[in-house]
Amino acid sequence: MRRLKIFITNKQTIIGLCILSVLLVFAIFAPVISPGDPLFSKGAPIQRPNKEHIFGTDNMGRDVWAMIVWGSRISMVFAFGAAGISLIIGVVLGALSGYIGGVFDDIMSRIFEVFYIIPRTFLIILMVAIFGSSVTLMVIIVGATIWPSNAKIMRAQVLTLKSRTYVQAAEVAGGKRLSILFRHVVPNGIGPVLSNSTLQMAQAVLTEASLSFLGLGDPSVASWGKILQAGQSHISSAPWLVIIPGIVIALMLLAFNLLGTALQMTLNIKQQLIE
Amino acid sequence: MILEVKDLTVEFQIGKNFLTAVNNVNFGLGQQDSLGLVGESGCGKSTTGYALMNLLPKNGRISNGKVLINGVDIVTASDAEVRSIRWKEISMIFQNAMTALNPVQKIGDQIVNALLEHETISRSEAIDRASYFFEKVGISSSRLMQYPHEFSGGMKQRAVIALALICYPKILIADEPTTALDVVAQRQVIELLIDLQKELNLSMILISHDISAVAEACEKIAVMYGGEIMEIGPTRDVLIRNNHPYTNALVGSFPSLHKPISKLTQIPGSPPNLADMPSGCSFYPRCTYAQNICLHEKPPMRSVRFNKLCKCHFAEELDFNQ
Amino acid sequence: MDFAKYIARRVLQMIPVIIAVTIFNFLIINFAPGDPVTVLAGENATQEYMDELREAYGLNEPILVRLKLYMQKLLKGDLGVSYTYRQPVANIIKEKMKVTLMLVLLSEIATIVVGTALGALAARHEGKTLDNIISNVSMMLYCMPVYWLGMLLILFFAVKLQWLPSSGMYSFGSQKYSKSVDLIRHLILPSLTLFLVRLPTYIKLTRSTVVEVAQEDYINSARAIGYSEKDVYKKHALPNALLPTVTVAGMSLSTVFSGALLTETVFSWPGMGRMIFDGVASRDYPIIMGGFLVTTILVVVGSLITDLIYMYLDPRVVHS
Repeated sequence: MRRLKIFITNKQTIIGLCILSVLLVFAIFAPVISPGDPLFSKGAPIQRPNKEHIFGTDNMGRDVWAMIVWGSRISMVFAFGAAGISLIIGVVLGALSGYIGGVFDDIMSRIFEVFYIIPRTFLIILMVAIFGSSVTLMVIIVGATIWPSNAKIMRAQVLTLKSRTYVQAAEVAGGKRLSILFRHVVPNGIGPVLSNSTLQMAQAVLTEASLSFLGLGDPSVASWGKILQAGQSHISSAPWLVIIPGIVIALMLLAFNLLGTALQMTLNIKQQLIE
Repeated sequence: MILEVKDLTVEFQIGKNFLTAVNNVNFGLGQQDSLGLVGESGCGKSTTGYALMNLLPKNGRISNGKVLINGVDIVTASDAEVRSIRWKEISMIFQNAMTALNPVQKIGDQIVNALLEHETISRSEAIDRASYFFEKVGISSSRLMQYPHEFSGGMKQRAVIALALICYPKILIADEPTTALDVVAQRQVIELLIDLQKELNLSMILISHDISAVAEACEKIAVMYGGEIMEIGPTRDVLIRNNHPYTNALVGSFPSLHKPISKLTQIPGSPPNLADMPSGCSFYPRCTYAQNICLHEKPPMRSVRFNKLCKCHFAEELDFNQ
Repeated sequence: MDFAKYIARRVLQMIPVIIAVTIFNFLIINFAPGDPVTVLAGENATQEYMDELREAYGLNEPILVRLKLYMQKLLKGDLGVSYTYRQPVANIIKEKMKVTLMLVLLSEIATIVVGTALGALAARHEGKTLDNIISNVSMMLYCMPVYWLGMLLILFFAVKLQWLPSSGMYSFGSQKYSKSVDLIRHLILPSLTLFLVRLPTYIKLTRSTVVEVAQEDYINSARAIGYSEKDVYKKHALPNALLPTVTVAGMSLSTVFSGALLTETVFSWPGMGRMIFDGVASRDYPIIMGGFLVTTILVVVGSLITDLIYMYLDPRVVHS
């Protein structure tokens, strides 16, 4: 409880949560806020921000405001989808690796290392280029490439926790090893993994924006990176196509990064309280 | 007097509160004098040592008093003055030799650089002096160019002593110089310190919870409790014919120096909480001789037999003999 | 002796990474949707060329024979032929790599030096105004996508002020500057982009390690010896705090190359990143796979070099 209070009253947490709630409202109520298909042309191309189009229009006459609102959807899907997949894979593999140990742990550690060192963005681009760029597929690809850091953290946590008295007591009492691992060990050690997951949400949002910017995004959905892609070729005539979506992406990344850092700080305070 | 400590008071900021870790401490040190500071952990003896070098942690400050080193007050001196006094006039053997040395620098370089910081001599002269002190503390000078992790615990402690002496300081503070060592190495280090003190004309302050080490090395002894000096005087007269109930209890809790090991007595209660000090005598809650006055009135420092000073309302009446 | 053993062990650890990437590439050729030959030759290849490739990669043979043939080709340095450039991929990469390294090395070295210095400065003034300014600016930079930062710089320095060129490596036809000056002018904006984008990593890292190291006993020893506060940080705290920086610099080489890919795209800088981007756009798989493999090898070798630097800086490594 004390930890929760420290976390909630933190200035960083408050700013982060405010930004996120606005974007979440955008994502959920997009059809209400901006009715109609955002990818459908709504007027003359390259209009400066005006009364009708508050963020202007792009080179195909699409309303930038509508694309921003709808774009928050895909960003949220990536943030929660990819980071969620990464969390599940990372926690399960990391926990098993730390708990079972031995040869299994050696092999898993090697695999974590390989994934860690491979140029991740290249890998993602390569896979998206080959397997296509539907949203679902991209979310899975991103989630399946960023999990090793979660696994590493989870493994380290399990290694320190498994020698604790209450875990050994549960083992002596004859509990099933797997249920001890996931009932007693994992919940107690998951804090740092969650704070890493928050940072991974930022990473996932950024990856989606980068893919869209490179023209590898899902062609059927509106995305912030796509506006930037249009902006790149009209940088001197339509600077708003560069500035506006960039600010929105940066704000979302800021929100996740602030929350992640705040979470880290809270967990450190916890450690200090124990010591 | 080469060192005079007057009304020294040190405070630490914890949250919004200031805790007094050292309270009105007075003592002096002549040339070649040796003084031992003893007491339970948390009594302020190490903090006193660091205050003498004006080297307190960020949240600590000297709120009152003077520390005169050769007549210069290190409390009010400028940064540059303080830096020139440190190591040249007053140096220190750190509590934890294991971590007191920079792990990524060769030990010889650390010693030579410390010397060059204070004296304008050539590097080769500095290396010669470092070799000299290495041999003096019993390490082959061929090991100067090794890293701390290549040294054993006892050797690190000796290296730290060589580092402390490299500028021929006039005052040496040894802060628990033996805690991290095994019993044999402890004896050797204490004997080394005694020899070096005589040979180099050092004035030495030995901070330790090990009364036997202090008894062996120091002519004078100060017993600290709750940030205050409770009894100070010639070592033998404080330890054997003490006047303060705390000194008596502290000595009683240690294996005797001269008699065969008899019954050891534990001091009842626990060391005082600096955040919640008793209003009268700070030892009052644990004192078997406490009276009503001890609860309300802080005892002043008074002179007692054998040229000692003692902070107890009943100092004259309590003539203990161990 | 220890030293040689240590290096040998590190080299052995690198092998699985490279094998993993080659197998991954191999699997893509063989299991990507569609005929493997179109992966290698492109949609518009002639029948003869496709037959030739089928033969060379043994695409009619069992899978293990195919893997063997593929590995043999790689060991000979044969990365296949690009069907957009109509040249061996290995030759193209050799050219492009120089151009990318020019950009990456310059900005990364600058960012390590400046980021470390700023991080140490922030740590020395922990909790004070200077620390707040450095940390907040660093956080802002950290949240900016690299290509957006690049476009903002173009917008300001190239479009608005018209001081610097916005893209490419050399200007066409203009005789205003000598060739090398022209190159430097083109290098400034993309380098600055990479520099700024990598800066927060080193600021954050150095700040936190210096703050941590500053609490060590030997830092207090240095103060007791009489070193000035500046020297305490410069000569004692920083060298120890640099160790994690070295590790991170090594580990993040792949991030550097990803950043380079996006930066080169924004600035049309004709290096590896731009090559891979174009390869993706035209579905030139030999180019993408070759780029992926070579980048991985570079990252692996880079992290090995980092290890050696670390060993030089921290005498404790070999012993433990």
